Amino acid sequence: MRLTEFEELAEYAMLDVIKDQGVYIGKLKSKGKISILYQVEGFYVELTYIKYRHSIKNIRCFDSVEKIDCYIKQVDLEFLNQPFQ
Amino acid sequence: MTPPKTPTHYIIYADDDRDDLDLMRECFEKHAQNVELLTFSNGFNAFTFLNSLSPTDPMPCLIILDINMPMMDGRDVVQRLRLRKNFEKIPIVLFTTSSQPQDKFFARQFSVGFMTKPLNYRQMDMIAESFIEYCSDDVRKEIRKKVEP
Repeated sequence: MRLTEFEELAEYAMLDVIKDQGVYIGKLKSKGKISILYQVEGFYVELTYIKYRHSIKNIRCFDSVEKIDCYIKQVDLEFLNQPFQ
Repeated sequence: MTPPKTPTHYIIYADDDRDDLDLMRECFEKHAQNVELLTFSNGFNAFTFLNSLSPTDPMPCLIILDINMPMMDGRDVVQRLRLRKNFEKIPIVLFTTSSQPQDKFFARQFSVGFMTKPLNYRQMDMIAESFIEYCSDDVRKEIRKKVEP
């Protein structure tokens, strides 16, 4: 599915596509809102919630990897260096 | 943490995401009764608790596991639990952010359920009910709560 095709879907259809095909990238918290980023085939979809996983404020779609930097920086890989206890 | 002493049912939920832990508590408060939700922030703590249960302790009616957790992930917990006789028949559900074919295959291999985390209210309302369906008939009757429309 291409980005342009995805953008033409109704919101409920977008969420069904994300649920079936989306790959979770990360989560951001900012100004009391939570955003989740998914990769869907060759593009990204950001869901910003009024209430987490309940009421969606905004759905933003893009294919630029530069815009996902803030999500990638949140990923903490330090635990990989810790011995299993 | 010890299992509930009162004659009630309890469900184990392990997830390193605090927001998802809070979300699940809210779901079960709204849709279930007579059941306590015991939460753990990683698979290791959940497994340690389950492994410490004696034969006389009440067993959970359902175990819900996030897949990607630090220290011990959901797949590792499943593999360890299924080796233990007293956990052979306890329903387990992998609860994950993404629908990956390899995780679905793993779930089928180990006879555990597989559900993706909800994205909106429409999907979220179904979640607690879907989890309750994994419990035995008797437990379902006791914990299912009718929600006023």
